[in-house]
Amino acid sequence: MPTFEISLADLEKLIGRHLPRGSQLAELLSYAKAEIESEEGDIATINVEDSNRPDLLCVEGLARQLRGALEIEIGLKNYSVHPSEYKVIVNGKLENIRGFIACAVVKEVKLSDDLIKQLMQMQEKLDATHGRGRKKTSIGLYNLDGIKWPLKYTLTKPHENAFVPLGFSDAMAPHEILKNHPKGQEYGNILKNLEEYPIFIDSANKVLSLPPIVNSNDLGQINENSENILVEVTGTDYNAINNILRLFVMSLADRGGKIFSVKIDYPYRKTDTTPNFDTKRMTLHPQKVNDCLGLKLDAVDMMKILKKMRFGAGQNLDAVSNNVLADVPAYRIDVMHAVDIYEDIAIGYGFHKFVSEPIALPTTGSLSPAEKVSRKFREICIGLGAQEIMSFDLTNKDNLFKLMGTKEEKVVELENPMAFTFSCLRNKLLPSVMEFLSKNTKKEFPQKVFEVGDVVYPDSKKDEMSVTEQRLCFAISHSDVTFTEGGQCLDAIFSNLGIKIAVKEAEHESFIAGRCAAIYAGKERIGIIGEIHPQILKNLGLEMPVVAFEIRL
Amino acid sequence: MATSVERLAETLQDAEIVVLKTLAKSPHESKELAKKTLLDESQVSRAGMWLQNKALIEVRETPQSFAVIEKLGETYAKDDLPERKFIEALKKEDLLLDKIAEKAKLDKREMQFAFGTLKKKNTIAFEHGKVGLVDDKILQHTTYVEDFLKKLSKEKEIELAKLKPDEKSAFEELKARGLVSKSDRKIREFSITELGKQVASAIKSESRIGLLTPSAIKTGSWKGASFRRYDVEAGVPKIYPGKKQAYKAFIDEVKETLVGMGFEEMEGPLVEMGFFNNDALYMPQDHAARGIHDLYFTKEPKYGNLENYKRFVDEVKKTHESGGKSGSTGWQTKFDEKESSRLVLRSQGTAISARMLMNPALKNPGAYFSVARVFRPDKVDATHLTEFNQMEGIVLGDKLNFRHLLGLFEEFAKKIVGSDKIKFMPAYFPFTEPSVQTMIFHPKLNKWIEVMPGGMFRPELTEALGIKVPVLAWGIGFDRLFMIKESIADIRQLFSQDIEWLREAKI
Repeated sequence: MPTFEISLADLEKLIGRHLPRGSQLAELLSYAKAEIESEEGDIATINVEDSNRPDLLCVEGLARQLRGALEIEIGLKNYSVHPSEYKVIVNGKLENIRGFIACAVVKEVKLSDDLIKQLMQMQEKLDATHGRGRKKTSIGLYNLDGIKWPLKYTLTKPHENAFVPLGFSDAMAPHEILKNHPKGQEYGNILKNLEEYPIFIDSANKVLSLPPIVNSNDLGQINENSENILVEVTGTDYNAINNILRLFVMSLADRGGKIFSVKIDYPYRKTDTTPNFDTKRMTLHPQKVNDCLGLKLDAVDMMKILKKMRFGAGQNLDAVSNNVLADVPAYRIDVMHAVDIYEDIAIGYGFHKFVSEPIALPTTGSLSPAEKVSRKFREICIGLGAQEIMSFDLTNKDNLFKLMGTKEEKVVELENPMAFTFSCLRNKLLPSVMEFLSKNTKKEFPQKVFEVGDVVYPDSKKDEMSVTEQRLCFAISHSDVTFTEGGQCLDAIFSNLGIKIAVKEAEHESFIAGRCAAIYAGKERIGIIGEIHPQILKNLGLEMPVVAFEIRL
Repeated sequence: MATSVERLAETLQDAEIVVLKTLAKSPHESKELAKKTLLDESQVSRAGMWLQNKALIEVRETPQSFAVIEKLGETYAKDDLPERKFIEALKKEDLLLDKIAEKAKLDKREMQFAFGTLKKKNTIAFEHGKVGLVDDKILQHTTYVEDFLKKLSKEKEIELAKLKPDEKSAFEELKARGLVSKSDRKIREFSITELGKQVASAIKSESRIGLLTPSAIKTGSWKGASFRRYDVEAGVPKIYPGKKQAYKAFIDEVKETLVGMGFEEMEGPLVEMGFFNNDALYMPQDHAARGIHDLYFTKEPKYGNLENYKRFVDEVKKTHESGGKSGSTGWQTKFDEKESSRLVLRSQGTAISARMLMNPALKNPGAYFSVARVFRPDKVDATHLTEFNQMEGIVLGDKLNFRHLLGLFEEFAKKIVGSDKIKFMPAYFPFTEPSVQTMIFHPKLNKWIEVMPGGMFRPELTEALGIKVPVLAWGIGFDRLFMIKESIADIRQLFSQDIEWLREAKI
């Protein structure tokens, strides 16, 4: 979950009220699905438990929600957008590259050092989370004064349109930026395979930015003296870029900024005017809300709660129905279905006020067939004096084959392992059990251990191209251990289960020739038993003989 | 009641008695003690240790050096030294060198050595190519070197400090020839303590029964005899019973609790298709948790077969793109069926619930659970594993609501964690709405911790799978639950490879 830092004093200023601390503050923050992860003086690290509520990832957003919770300001928050002549012309070739742009101008913003830090933090968080590392959306902020309108969102050859990138003093061509600028190195792969890169320039051909990599050091730099700001978002998802723009603009407006629209001229879709704060109306049936939440709220209660949660709420007075109409603010991109509003009603009602309702399940419980089998085997193994162990399903080919002296077999390998140690799924248990023994050579003997666990092996006839299978591996190690002792344990297991098995001499590289047998239940081969070959023991650093068997359950 | 000295006397085993009585006469070194007591050295050493533990004797160790015989020395001791064989060959006549070698059966090295030594000591003379004895008397006496070698061969070792001066020089000479050597070791000197003396005199002489044998029972030979008293308070050597792995035992218990509540156990494969792991759960295809940092992908083959689930895939696709039958707007992003068949390692137990909802055997009302191994790319350390366990479950039924879910969590808290101090917090999960996080107050940590997340499956999820009733769902990080319960700080302990830890773990 995303975390970010805020100043509690700043939050109080935005809310317009002194806030309690400790558990009362925690309860209040829960209305915004937020919690304080750590606190140092006035600075609190906030964690928002909802990756689908980017509007809450900034102090202004928290204040917006909490003003409602505290009933200082309820209902929809209105943001008025002043019309303007600002215009961005989009190059038609961008359609399938990075086809969407949304812009807004915010004037009369009073930027402090702290506020700039806040904005940068918000930009970073949104780029990283909802922007999917700037791939889906990326944000740019510019100093409006100095920009010559209209602007062009167009394409550039990698070696043309050199400009001074943010934080540098010399002009660099886009391909140099990708190679040498830290942001170019971080995000360059988004543009990697393109012949031409998106570029944002003004009508004097001054570069604003190279989206989604870096702004220019000239127009693309804001400081405490910047009062008028251009906000731009580019990306590959129309809804996403519009929402990100909206969030940014709302934060600036909450700080006293005045919003002006920008016209976006697309050759491949109809002309757009951004930002927009259009609300969406949804109809709620009070009975359905109550059925879902297990509450007995009437329409009036619901409307009150909705307003507290910053929705617009009302009823169609002419209609006979008791339905509640909820106006969903534009920034609530998480609202896809009425149930999303049900949850807001639950939060607004107060989670702490919910009284739980016991369920008496009318169903009959049961363990799965595999679990029942597993339990029988495990019980006998324990009766035989063996210690149960549990190991990882992930392992590597060295453990599975090289150390066990066997030929490599096909296994399910990972495309993106974190480390070689865990790079494929095991297709047998014996290597895990042998590894366990190898970690305990200095511990007391005799050692008798077993594991019931899953193995996975490829099978192209199955939907998942593999089979997950439950197995048992049993191993005994001490100075006098013999094949007979292993055989006795194997026999004890199956005779107690009333299953007839037969063993037939077999060859296997992990076992001593002539001391290894395949195990059959009827005609089906279900496992193998034997004395581990001394070379395998040596591979694993074991100095005690081991007898082991592995069977399919 | 016997006095403590008498009791001690009665607990002594036969070997201890012999050793103690022998030491009551005079202190002894371990070899002598073995000889005197007719026990072998290991028996003496064991009895000595027991007696020492009871403070009946003292054992002092001092380093000592011994003369010991080497293999070649042993041969010569039996078979005469080369110089003796040399002069024996000259008993009757003077001989040429090669004749001597032949007669005395000496090899070239032995010849050279014998000739050199004898010449130096002026025992032989060499004239006109022949060798002869200077004085025949030499044949009648053995030398001190030969005497010492024979003695050492018989006694195996002689303490260096006890050697007479001529033995000392014989030792040096033989050592230089590699026939004997010096060996250092610790000598253990046993002597009786005051308490030992008292106990020794308290030992009763009649025969006592040690091990009660079947024949003693049958013949009744125990009648009238006394039983040796055992030191029943002394510790016994440890043995280990077979038992469940500690964490598995907890999983077993929880499964029984859930079955008792009416839950059926469900299962699923470890290698899953993206469809079950994510898409069917209404997780958008570009969701951050579907990237290489959160999901393990298979290398080869990369795609599974969704043919058998076509009906569901179509509905899920529609729902993702535009809401389908659910009345939702959907994600409004393009749905890629190929991506849906991408093979991954199961990253959340909810994949199993998704399968259950598509299973024709699904019951309504129904209650299902699973303890699922799941995989996520993470570096393994004290707080992270790359595979772990989740306790996953669903309840479906006509009249179920959010408060029932809270009731279920309350019951879990009581029955599984043993806690009734819980609270509910708003939360977010892509597949539930409303969602809830259940916090439990941890008395040892003195804080609230998140343990049971859950919610009601979104209509986008249920409608696409043809489920018409509310579904309560949860997925609990099970490992953490166990760690909290057992105060385990390092998560790797759950998969402990230390047999000692497993053996010592309490049931």
